[in-house]
Amino acid sequence: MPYRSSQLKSMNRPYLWVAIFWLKILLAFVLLLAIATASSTEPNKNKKRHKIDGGNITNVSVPVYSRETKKPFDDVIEDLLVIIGEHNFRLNQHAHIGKAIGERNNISFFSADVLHFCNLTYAKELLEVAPDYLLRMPCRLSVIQKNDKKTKIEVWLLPEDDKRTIELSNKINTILKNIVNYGAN
Amino acid sequence: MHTKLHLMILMSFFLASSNPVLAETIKKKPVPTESLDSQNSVWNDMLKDFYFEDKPIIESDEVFDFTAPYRAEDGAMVPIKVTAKIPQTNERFIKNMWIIIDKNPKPLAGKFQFSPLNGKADLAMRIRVDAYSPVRIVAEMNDDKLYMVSHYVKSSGGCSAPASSDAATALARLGKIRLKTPKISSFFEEPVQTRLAISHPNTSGLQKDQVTTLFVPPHYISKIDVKFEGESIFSAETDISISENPNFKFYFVPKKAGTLVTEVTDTKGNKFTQTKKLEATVN
Repeated sequence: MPYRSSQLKSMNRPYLWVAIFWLKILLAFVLLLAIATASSTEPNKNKKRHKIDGGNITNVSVPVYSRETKKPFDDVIEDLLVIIGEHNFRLNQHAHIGKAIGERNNISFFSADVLHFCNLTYAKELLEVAPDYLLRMPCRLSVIQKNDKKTKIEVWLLPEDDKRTIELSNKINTILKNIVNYGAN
Repeated sequence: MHTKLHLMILMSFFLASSNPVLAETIKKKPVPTESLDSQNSVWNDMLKDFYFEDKPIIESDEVFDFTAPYRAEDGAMVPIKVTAKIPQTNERFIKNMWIIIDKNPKPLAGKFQFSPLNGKADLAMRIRVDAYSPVRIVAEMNDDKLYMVSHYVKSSGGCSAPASSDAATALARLGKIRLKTPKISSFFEEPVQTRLAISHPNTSGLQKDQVTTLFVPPHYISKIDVKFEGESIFSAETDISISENPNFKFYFVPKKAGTLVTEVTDTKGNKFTQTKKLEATVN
């Protein structure tokens, strides 16, 4: 097949081929970088973001692990405090929300406590790879007993579909499930 | 040529400063740490002679293993665990176990007694650690030999940390004993894990009332005894270094159906008792 005159001209200029080659490499690198950035900044596929009142609203799904037990409420709380300590977590806050509502309004209100606890070693590891997880800290757990005398324990788990934190999230989630199970058993 | 060289040097400096790991390494200065001799000075100068006189102590994990967090998150609740490496047999068994926290105001957290009825001399609990200190487990065998394993634990303020529950709640639950044993379908020679939970504020005398700011008087559990069919399977003399609402994990061999009786005494002379029947569940 005969070459066109323009092709013949460029073949006689090797520096042009080298430049095109490096340009292709650069383009491929930029493309890969864009893909990697897109996947790392999108940890949760269920994230939906929209603007309102000048700020951003992001909907993030949070997995919850829960158990129900017939154990008395106070026994559940005491066992939870023991097991939180046994896993080397520190109790940051124990909010007696149900009791406070009952006392302020002088009414009989059901028991509802929230426990906040944290392990700074895990927090450091997590924040180093995913600073946006700060809002999920400290770990929180709710204990509620309505009139049916069943005590329900719920804990927020970490997302297990985030590539940045998958190993650590699994490890922490196992501990959180253990804590709930111990409180319930 | 020189221009290229300068450019390369400039680039390497730029890369080094923009790399957080490298920059951190450059900035990081060696942190002064307590020397091993200094860590053990309280033990060597005072505690060893005070508790064990001139008895030789073998520093080895040959008989048991001991785990404690190097960095404890909460000084008032430091989880520790002893795992025996030998079974408790009539020929060879761990007889006594001491838990000593060198730099606590009262270093001896407790003395625990074991026998071949335990099957294995494992023990787990939460303790108070008041200052960066070695935590030691000393075990005495039936032939009177002493073995010791220690770990340095970084934590502080454990003995003076306020209680996690308010005084009224703690008083309402005072002395409630719960002994958890696993459901067993038949009796056997294998040791089963038992958990003893006692509701007690176990105040150390170093905690302050959050309202009056006055010291809360010491009030803690001093003696625990768990018997199975009249024979002691877990016995302890404890002190202020055991965390509030003491919770112990230990083992015993349920060879037959019987009754477990737990007796707890505190420093105000209160005695708390709980009885639990141990029966095999029918599947």
